[in-house]
Amino acid sequence: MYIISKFRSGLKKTSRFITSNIINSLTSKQISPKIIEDIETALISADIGLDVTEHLVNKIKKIKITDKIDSKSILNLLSNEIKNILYECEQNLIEKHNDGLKIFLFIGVNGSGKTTTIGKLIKRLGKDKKILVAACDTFRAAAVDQLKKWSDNQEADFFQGSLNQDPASVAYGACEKAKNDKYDFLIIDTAGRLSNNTNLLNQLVKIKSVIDKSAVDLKLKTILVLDGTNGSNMINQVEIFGKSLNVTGLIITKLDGTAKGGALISIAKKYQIPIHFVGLGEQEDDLLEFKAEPFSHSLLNIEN
Amino acid sequence: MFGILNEKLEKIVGSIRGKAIISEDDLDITLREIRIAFLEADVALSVVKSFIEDIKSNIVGQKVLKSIKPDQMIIKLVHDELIKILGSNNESLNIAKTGLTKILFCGLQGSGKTTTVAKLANYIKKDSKKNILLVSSDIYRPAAQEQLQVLSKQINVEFFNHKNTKSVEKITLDSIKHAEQNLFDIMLFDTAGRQVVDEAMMEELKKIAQILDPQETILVADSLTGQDAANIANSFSKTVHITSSILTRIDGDGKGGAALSIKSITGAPIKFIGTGEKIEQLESFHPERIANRILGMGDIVSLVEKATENIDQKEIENLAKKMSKGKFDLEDFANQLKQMGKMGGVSGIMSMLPGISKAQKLMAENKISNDTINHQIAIINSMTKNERSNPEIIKASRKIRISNGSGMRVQDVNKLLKQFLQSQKMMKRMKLMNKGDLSNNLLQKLQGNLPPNFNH
Repeated sequence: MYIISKFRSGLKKTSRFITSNIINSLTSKQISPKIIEDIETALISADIGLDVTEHLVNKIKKIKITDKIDSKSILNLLSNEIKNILYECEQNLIEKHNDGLKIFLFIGVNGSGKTTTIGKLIKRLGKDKKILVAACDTFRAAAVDQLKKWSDNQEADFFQGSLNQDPASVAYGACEKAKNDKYDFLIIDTAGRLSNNTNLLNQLVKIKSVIDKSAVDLKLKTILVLDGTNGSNMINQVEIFGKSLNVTGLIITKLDGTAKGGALISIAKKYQIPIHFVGLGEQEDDLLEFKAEPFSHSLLNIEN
Repeated sequence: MFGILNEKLEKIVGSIRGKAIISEDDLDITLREIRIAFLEADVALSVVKSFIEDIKSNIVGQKVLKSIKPDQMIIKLVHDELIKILGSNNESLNIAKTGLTKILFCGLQGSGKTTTVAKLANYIKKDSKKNILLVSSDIYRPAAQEQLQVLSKQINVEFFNHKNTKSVEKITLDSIKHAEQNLFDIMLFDTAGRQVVDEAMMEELKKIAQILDPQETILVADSLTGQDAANIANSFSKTVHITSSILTRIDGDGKGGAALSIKSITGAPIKFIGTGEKIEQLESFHPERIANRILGMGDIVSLVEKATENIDQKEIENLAKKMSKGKFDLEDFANQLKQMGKMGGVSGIMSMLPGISKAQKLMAENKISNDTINHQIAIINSMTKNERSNPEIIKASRKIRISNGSGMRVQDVNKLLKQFLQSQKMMKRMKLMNKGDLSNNLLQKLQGNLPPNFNH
């Protein structure tokens, strides 16, 4: 329950805006076109895409106007719909009973929070696990240092190449080491890149195929880190990265601010891809498992 | 930037093109579609709302010229509103003539502040001999200091090393002292990324700004930002006096709605845009160019005005008569080309016409320029009258003569003839489509008058 309440308190600021919008629009207790439009715009301003907004609004339109309809029942209906869309995306990244080396490859746009998320993930995996962290961002200044500080703090082992070394060769070296020295987890950080940059995308494909070759029978998860403040470009990122890299799961960051991350609903609807974690701050404990119910409740600020 | 928005708006306007009057219902639908297009481009809702309101009130207030058609009216209104939001000229950095100029950077985590600090330093360094100092007050993110330090070495400017001071205030005070004592001209002051709901961090930023008293306070924002751009712009403006903004990752997609939101809400000009990962990839922002490209619409009204001023009415009427008879020969083709020249040539028309995004692409592909027009006129001038009215008689030896006479290659003559044939076909099509009043349909005529390459 701690997780859920923390999840909600982190998201609370996120949902204040959308909910106050909806509540305001419902005070008249009648579902007039004006209210429908208010709900629609409130959902849109939560970065919930127009397709999903239309889907949700259509559900509301079907409600028959009776005395029992109040803002709460409408919010519940909305939240249920959102939950239903997101429910299938709940999936733990860390499987409890699974021996052998597991490899997590982190990818994402610049500044989405890959390195910070890895830092938090190391903490989550626990100190009893043998973890190797590989820095394949050989491009951005001091990216390696940033990751090293995180991994030192969490007492994980660190693997790095030389500056401007081909990141794929660093990844290969890390895989070999992780196999030979019997690590439980290998976490690979990569340089941020825009999804529409073909050359850099190809570089990722190369990194991934190198890992695939080195670790044929091992579990590789390719995790896309999304910046929660992004709008509909998030969908493009899932589409394009997914197409060339077989992204196995998502982590969404920066939801501790005013951003709502509503584009996630469109993504869930379109791709049925697991969402593992939500980033709710810069501290080591600010990474929480994604849960559809508190997420949708928090989005609409519904108390249980 | 704004490429996607552009396409959508052109489509919307296209759907009402050709209508002589617009009903209230049509107008509502059009405005709703425009609203959706802006929202889909991630422009903040509040900005979209006031945008639409302004357009509506301009229509109601009859600020619109009655002489133009509904689609042109919508184009003009949307374009005017965009100019209103984006501003009309590039504004340069506010740099003090004497003494130390302090530039403060702020923004969310991962918006690209540190990279932008280095890019801007590099930009300033390129065209001035200013002595630049970089300072990082990010004591939170691991290796943030190192990142700026490494970048400072890359671009060969000084970095203020405060050796792990853990007080942001002390860093600020020390850096000012250091910059003044060592006679630096410009100090770029980087801060930690912060969420706007983090009150302690926003308070910290306020404090920094108070101590620093900067000439420029730059909000760095990710152009991929969604609706949150409104909150970001609002909150930072409330905390510090934002004097300009820099939009990063403009190369990320064709939406760029955040730029509109942030400019509209902060009121501060966008001075630069980040266009790539490399340190040189920072460009000064020219709102007028962007606005002219958004919607690819330009100022339709001035086109119409210019057209009526410059085009020889008699020529047009003659042309219209010939067209209505389905006759259109090379002489008319040459006249068409001349009319185009009078209106400022291809580039002149292009900068004013709707649907430019498409035409500009074609123009780039076909390398059509004002020279092309002159060359084509030269070719036609080298033909006999008989050839001009009966182009089918132009065969190999005539082509060689025309080519020699005009100084153009035979291929060019062939190309012109091909274009003429296409143009002729189009004229026939236009004859069927276009039986309305001549002056009212001027714009369509003008579009028809473009060489056929434009309309592929």
